[in-house]
Amino acid sequence: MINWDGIQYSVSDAERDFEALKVNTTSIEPVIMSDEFISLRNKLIQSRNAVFEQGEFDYVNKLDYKFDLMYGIEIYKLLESSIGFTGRTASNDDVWRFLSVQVIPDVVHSRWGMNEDHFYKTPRRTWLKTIWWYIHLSWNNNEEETFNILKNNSTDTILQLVERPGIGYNISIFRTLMLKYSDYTDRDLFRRVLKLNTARLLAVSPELMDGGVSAYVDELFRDAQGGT
Amino acid sequence: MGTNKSQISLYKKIDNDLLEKIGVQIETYLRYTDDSEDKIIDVEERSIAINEVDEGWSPNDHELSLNMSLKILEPMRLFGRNSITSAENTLGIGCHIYSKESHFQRTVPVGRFKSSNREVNINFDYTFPPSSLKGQVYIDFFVYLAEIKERFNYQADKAGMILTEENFLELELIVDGDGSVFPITEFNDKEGPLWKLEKHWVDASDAIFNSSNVSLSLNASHPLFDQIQKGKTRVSRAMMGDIMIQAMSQIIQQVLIIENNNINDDNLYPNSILAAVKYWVESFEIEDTSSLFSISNSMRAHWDRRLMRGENEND
Repeated sequence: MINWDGIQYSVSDAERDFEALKVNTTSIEPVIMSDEFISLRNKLIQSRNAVFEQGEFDYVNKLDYKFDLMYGIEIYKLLESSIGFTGRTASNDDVWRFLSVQVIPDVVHSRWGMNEDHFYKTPRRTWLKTIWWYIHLSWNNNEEETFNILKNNSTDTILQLVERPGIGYNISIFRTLMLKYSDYTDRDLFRRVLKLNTARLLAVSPELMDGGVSAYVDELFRDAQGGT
Repeated sequence: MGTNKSQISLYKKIDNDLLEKIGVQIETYLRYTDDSEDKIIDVEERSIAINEVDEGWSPNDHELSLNMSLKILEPMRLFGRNSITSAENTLGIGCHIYSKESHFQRTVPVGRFKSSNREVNINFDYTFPPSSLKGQVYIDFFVYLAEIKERFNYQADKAGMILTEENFLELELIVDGDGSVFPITEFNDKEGPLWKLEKHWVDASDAIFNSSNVSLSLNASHPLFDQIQKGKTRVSRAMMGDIMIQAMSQIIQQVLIIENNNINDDNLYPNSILAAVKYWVESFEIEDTSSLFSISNSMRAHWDRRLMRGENEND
């Protein structure tokens, strides 16, 4: 099994390797890896190919949210406990830098070009990390249902949800909230709900309220829409 | 801090006086299993760096269970018209667990009790699965209104409301390292300078103070690297000190003067860059944080007093 905890890959390491990346017409070089990562890369690339085919992405000018969502679900399925990938792993920026710059730089490049922020430079914008957490925080029973509740969102939803973990994500609140938000498409509402949530969590514990997390989330949406 | 719930309150809460009167006794320990052998880690202080107490525990391979037993000798003092809640109601103990570095927070109910002449005994056991914790983890215990049947004036009126003015127990588990490290990394550049400081954060109040967000890098290929790294002579130690001072000054200036953050923000996240800045401003006694000169002069003066003058001449 991959020793994820052993990955030490600083911003400087990533920068050095990123600068050595060379973009060819059909590939990006070098992709240097130890054996243990080759099979993971193969799976991640197979998924990328499948997503490209399904989403007909070969014919688009620029990849967008639809790719983020579809590929996010794929990496969420692959990067999981059977290969030793845990909450601790997903909280390790070294791991995300390593995956982005060393393992599948070609996939990151297809989405963001050579934008260093999304490869390694700005932790909260590391693309693979943001789409993994987006799916993790929104997961609803299975792949299909998760896709369905998220399909009408945008890149902005990912940023809003993932960018500010505060003192830590409350996963049950976020999953309930994302399910509820699938009934809406109002970006401003989403932003207001998240703000209200951050403010209220300082004073109340939804898990301890009457009706628990779901009553709490209902109330957030009601109040963010001006009450009644 | 992040979970400071002491906002201006319109209902009665349990203050330290009342906490003392009801007689709260708490015992806590940590436990894990290694090769089917039970291991106990005593919790003697509020903040515990696990690997300093027990090198055998691995955040990756072992689960970690927290056990807390709580005794309240005179619970009835919390009930009644003149106290916290009606004797018809039920109180609960809640536990808020949060860790910015592990990316999660949750609140779990610990136990409930009603008005009674007898003492309350609650035993709580909570297990973190292997590889779920990273960095620092905070665990706060408080009293809340669990069930409401009757409400008097100036008392909490909704189930879930927090009734302790301050948490009656706060624990900090340091899962990785000792929790007080300035993020220093190394790079190799034969032509390059001895050190460089890099900023990768977007929001200092949210970003964790670690090498992903801010890093002081020393050039391992530089001729002076070995000397400052080993710190054998007084001059080499002074040089390393000066590098640290410059790095900290630059970070403080960026965070407070350029980005206009406020260190007196009530909801300062522990381990954030802003929290580190607050700590430096306080411990280096920087009085005027609006001036570049005052910041670096105060730091140098303090550093010199503390570290250089106290040392023996030994080189």
